[in-house]
Amino acid sequence: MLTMTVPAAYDEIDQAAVRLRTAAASVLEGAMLDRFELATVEALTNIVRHAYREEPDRKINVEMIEVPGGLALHLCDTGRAAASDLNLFIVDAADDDRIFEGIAESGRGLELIRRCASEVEYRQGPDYNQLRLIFIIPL
Amino acid sequence: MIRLQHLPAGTTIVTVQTSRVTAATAPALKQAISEVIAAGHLRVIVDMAAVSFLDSSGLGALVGLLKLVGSRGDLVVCSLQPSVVQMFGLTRMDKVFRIFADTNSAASALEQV
Repeated sequence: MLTMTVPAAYDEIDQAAVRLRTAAASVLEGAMLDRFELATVEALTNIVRHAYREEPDRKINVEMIEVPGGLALHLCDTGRAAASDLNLFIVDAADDDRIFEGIAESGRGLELIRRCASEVEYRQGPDYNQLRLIFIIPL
Repeated sequence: MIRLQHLPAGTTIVTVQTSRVTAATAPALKQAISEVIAAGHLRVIVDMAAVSFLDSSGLGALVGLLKLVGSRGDLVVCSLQPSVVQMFGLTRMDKVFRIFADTNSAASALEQV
């Protein structure tokens, strides 16, 4: 459906997100399309900020494919792996509003991804990390 | 980045002119509005009518500005587009920020305090 390589820079993320949203609009719509875009931007930003620590000249491979009932977005980087204690991939965990308690200025990205995507999977390879986000249209 | 309108009753409308408030643009936006607050304008309405997309970086910037004003004044937001309303709801920031439909209702509310 769409494959792209995104330079790991914040302004490049915005351009990529608009392209991905445009492509996703053939499958998703309305609030779900907004959540797709939000999860996509949060995931890409996390890679730039944490996996690559804002190093220049790094790349993020993005693949979006249609799956039964919706879309899958695969994001692959070659940076630092996420901490093993992240509950990013515990997809059945109840929404934890405590992350939003108080008025911290950061730290909402991962929880937003979990709330926006139907499923989240994270895999660490020998020299890569892959984040898989699934968006399933409710019946 | 922003446009200012100072109302007679001492409220300042800060109109955000950036359509996407993300990691790329949020630091500059926060800096621009911080300067408004630092200049003594402590009753602030952030008009987000032009903002079609806000991510956690943008939200963090708004939170930082809210904390900067603190108890000295008021910072509210208005004219949120549906995607931004959803963002505030997902993060429970609709319980933290006062949100108004437009600048007129925001100004009226702030001037009644």
